Amino acid sequence: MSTFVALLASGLAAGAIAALAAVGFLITYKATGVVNFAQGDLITLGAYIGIWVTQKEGMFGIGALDLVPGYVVTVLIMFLIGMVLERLAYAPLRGRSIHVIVITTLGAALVLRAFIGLWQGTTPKYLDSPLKGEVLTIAGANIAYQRVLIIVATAIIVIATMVLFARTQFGRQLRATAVDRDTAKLCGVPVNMLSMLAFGLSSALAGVAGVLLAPLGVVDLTLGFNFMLLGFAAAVLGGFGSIGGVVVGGLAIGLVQYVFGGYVLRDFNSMYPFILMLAVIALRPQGLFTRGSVQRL
Amino acid sequence: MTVETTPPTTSTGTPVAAPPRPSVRPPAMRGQPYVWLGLFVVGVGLYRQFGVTGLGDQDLINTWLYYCVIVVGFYLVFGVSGQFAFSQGAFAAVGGYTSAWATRIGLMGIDSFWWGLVVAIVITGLLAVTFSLLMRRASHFYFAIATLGLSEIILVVLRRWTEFTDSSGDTTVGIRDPSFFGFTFNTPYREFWLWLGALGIVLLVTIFVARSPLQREAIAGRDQDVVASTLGVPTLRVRVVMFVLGSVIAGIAGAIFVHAKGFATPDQFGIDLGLGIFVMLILGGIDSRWGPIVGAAFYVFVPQWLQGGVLGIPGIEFTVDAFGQQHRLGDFRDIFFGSLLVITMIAFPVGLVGVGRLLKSVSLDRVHPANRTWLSDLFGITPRKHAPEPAPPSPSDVGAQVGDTDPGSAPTLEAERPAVLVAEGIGVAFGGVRAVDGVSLSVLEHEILGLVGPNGSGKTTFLNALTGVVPATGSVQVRGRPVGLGAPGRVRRLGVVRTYQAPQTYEHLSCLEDVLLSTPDRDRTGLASACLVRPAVNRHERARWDAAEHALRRVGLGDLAEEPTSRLSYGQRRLLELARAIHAEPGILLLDEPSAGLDASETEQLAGHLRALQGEGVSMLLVDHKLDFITGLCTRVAVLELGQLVAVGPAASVFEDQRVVDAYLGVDDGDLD
Amino acid sequence: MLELGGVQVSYGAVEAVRGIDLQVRDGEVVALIGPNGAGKSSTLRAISSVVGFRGTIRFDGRDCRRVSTQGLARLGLIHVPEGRHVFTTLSVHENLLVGTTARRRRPDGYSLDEVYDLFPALARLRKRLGGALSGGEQQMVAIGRALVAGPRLLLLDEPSLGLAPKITRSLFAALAEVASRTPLLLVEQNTVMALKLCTRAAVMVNGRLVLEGTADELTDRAALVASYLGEEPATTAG
Repeated sequence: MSTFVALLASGLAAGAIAALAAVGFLITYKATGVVNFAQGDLITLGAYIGIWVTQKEGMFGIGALDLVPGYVVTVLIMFLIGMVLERLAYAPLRGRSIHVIVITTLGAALVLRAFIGLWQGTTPKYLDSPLKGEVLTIAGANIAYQRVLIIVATAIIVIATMVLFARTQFGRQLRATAVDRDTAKLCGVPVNMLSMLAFGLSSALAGVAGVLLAPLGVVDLTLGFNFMLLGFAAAVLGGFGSIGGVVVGGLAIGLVQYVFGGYVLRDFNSMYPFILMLAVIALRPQGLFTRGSVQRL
Repeated sequence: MTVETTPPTTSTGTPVAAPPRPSVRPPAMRGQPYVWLGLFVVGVGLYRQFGVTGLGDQDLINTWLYYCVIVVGFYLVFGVSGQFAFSQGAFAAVGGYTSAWATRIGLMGIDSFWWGLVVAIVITGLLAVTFSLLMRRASHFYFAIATLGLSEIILVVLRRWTEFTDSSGDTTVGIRDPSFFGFTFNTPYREFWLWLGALGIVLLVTIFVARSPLQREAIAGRDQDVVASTLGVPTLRVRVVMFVLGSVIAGIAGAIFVHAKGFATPDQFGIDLGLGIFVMLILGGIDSRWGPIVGAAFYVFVPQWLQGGVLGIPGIEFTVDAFGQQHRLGDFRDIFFGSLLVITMIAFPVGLVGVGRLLKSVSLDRVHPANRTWLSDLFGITPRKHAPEPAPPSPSDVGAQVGDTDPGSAPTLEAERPAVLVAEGIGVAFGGVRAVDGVSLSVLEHEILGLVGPNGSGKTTFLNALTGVVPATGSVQVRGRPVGLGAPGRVRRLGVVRTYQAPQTYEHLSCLEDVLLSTPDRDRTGLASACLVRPAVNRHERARWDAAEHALRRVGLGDLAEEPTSRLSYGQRRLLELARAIHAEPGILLLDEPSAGLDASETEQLAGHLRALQGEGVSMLLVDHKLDFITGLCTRVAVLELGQLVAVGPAASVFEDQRVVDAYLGVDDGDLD
Repeated sequence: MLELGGVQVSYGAVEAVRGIDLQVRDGEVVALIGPNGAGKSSTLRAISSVVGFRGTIRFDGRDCRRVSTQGLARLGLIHVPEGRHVFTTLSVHENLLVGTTARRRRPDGYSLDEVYDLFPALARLRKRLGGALSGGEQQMVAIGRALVAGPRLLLLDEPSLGLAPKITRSLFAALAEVASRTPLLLVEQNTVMALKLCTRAAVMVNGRLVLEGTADELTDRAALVASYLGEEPATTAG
């Protein structure tokens, strides 16, 4: 029983991060139609910036910040970086085919990863959490508070994002632009500004994912990429359309990997989410939660 | 192809018989790619013999050749066939590990590197074909994600399935060296020949593919696959074949790689390789088989040069202080390449080879005309000139007489003519909007049936339903045989061909290749034929080229056969689409606003072509807006309004019908409120 | 208020609009009619900066060339495109709310309630998704969305496209009310309805204006039918 609970917690936490990653690039996707393949490396960058801001001499030598303010500053910095990314790698390519833009985000990913490597070196680092590795005991299982934090934080963020999309003018404009950018222009929607803000928001979410994820283990260059892949799987299951869908998708991913994978061929558990993803793409490419037929992207 | 001027005469003034017109061929047949390939192989081989001075250099060259092989495979998958795939590195891993396993356990009793290679090819091929078929319904984007997923799965399996990989820690060791009749390739100096041989064969295969229907069909499937399906191109088969071919090439590269190195780790095939493959192809030039060669050279040699020199060329030897550490320029390799990828996409998406071609054609323009043809033949390009005006069709090229055939004078009575196309109850709905609502229509043999209606009445949607481009309810029969709706390409097999409202021509193909896409002769169009029975392929191709050229001459585009379609004017593109339809030898032609955008004389020419086709036995459904064009060609006209059939009858009387006039101009029923 | 001078629009080698001059003054309702493919929609697209053009277009005296589509919308030049284009994944109410983006403190615009009064059918469908509406309902949403933007000039592209006559009637009745408050430039294939609504009309064939006049002058159907069939009309009014 205690194993089950521990696995459940790990699965939910992993699913939460996958959902967070997915929401991140879903926002960009909804605003611009582009899937940002650099999202994973932005998560990694978020973790490293968290380290930079809260350790040793801190940001530009102004002194290490405490963890929580440090996290906040990290997220703000990531927001700015996202907007810069939009200006450099996306805006000049507006109107070009989707292949071109995707390849450019790949280039951006490469640059980001290399930059982090040069900046912080390749030896793994560690980021602390304000919860300092304390554990919670449920039904005999030791569950790191950090995992609980991840689940709770993701839930809050997801709800906030859903409210943003459903109830605010910004969210409506974003959704409208996703469906029909040209008509949105005719309605006076500032589509270019929206793109920039969307990239900023996605990047900020990547930052959150990075600082939440990092304390669970080691921070290295591949940290974010793996979770971005899980995010893709979550988004595919959820149909790449609704936030709610990707959250359920994320949960499914996490549970499949840790709960199912905890009992069946545990060594191979990291491949189960992708097998599930392949099954969904082959059988029902529009995802499990959208009505209607496949959109040709 | 020279444009003929006045016929040559002898000194006495009697005309000399004009030399036979050189036969028209697709541009891929021009040039001497085999010569270039031979020169390349010999050149690299010579450099290896006399130029390579050390183990470091040799290793570097081998790495370059390894990348060349993998990226050429990727060129086939992505460059030619347009499939965005991240799986190239993973398939190399599969090839490598499978070969290592087969040779380690002596599968089926055979202990030989070549057997391992065969096993690698088979396993990689099976995996690729299974994957490609499973994902056949996925759009480009989902397919790309699926390949990412596949790569992850493969890498996890290779990391964890230690019985298969026989690895300790992460590494599999003790992989045997390749050997050939006792000659063991156990040093990089010797492995070089293996690599060069592999690259030579792989490049040869790309030439075979380029000089067979497969290339143009892959390009058509890439650029507009729905239209290609309606022309009869087997787009799924082509996609799968190209994916498997490219992936197997990766598998071969992986197999040679692990045997040459003697050990293997999954990380060698991870995301760094995957991204690197992208960079090499995009940078080198996605449109050419030499793009991977150039790109890989750039990727391998330039960072080395920045680290202090390569292959005897002294490099830039300075260091930069950044982030508290000393870095040499080569350390910035990934930033450099990542940025270069972004810049390439923004500034020169055709890559280095593309830029090179541009410079070549520009400079060739300045070469003396006499040398131009020899040079251009060697380089395989035509020096730039303006697309010539199409010659008017000569009487012998056009089928029946272009005259004023009265459309009503068909010998058989209408009532007795059988219906060649019967559509019943066709319905198409988009969300809550019913674009086509229960339309039943029949096209009789040898007739041109007109279909008119105001904007938004559903005419194009009706054609889309018939050709399977949109899902639809109802039934269709062609010459009595029922055809399923909902998948493009089905009616093509029964001889139904269509044209589109905006001409759907392929800008990356020449006119000849564009027309060839609709050929009814599909013998010897596959990969196996292209590689193994080239004489048979060439025989069929020559026949197809002649037929396609004939179709082009009929519409007056014969002189433009080898020009890229992007050079054509709008009106010429319409004619090209018509030539493509003619080449298909259709029984039934569905024409969607063929006169749109044409002026009066072009429209009259078009009418002539259609009458000629009718005289040859083709039945037609003609959708159009120009009412005089319709009444001049059609005996019967059907009228659609709001997705429903409002009237069908003789052309003369249909337009008197009050319902029809109302449909167009609106109903006058009193003042507005 | 709106002035077009020598406007030409080409798509690659195809000339859709071959040089036209047109004005719309305050309080006018101008209809641009003609057969399909005449270039009417392209004209509207040039006005709202969706496509490029040669010539001059001025709105409220301001040169339109420098202003983006979104910018023009915010200035009150609202274009309802051909084919309705509702946001399919947003509800009716949300569609209207998006329309308010261009509003910018213009007092003359319709409030959402006024739109529901104008189109009572929509009031029932407030929460229905755009993609689930019928053609007529979508057209009402598209127009309502334009109205809440407080338009100083409304460009309507074929509002009756694909709609049954009964629905077209009620739509144009609503448009008559709108026309009393807002200048309109209307592109229509349904000549009868267009002429009932407008004060002035111009007939466009093959990219050129061939006939212009007040609504009364142009109700001679024979001339119109002739122009649709591609024959030269008997008179060309200045």
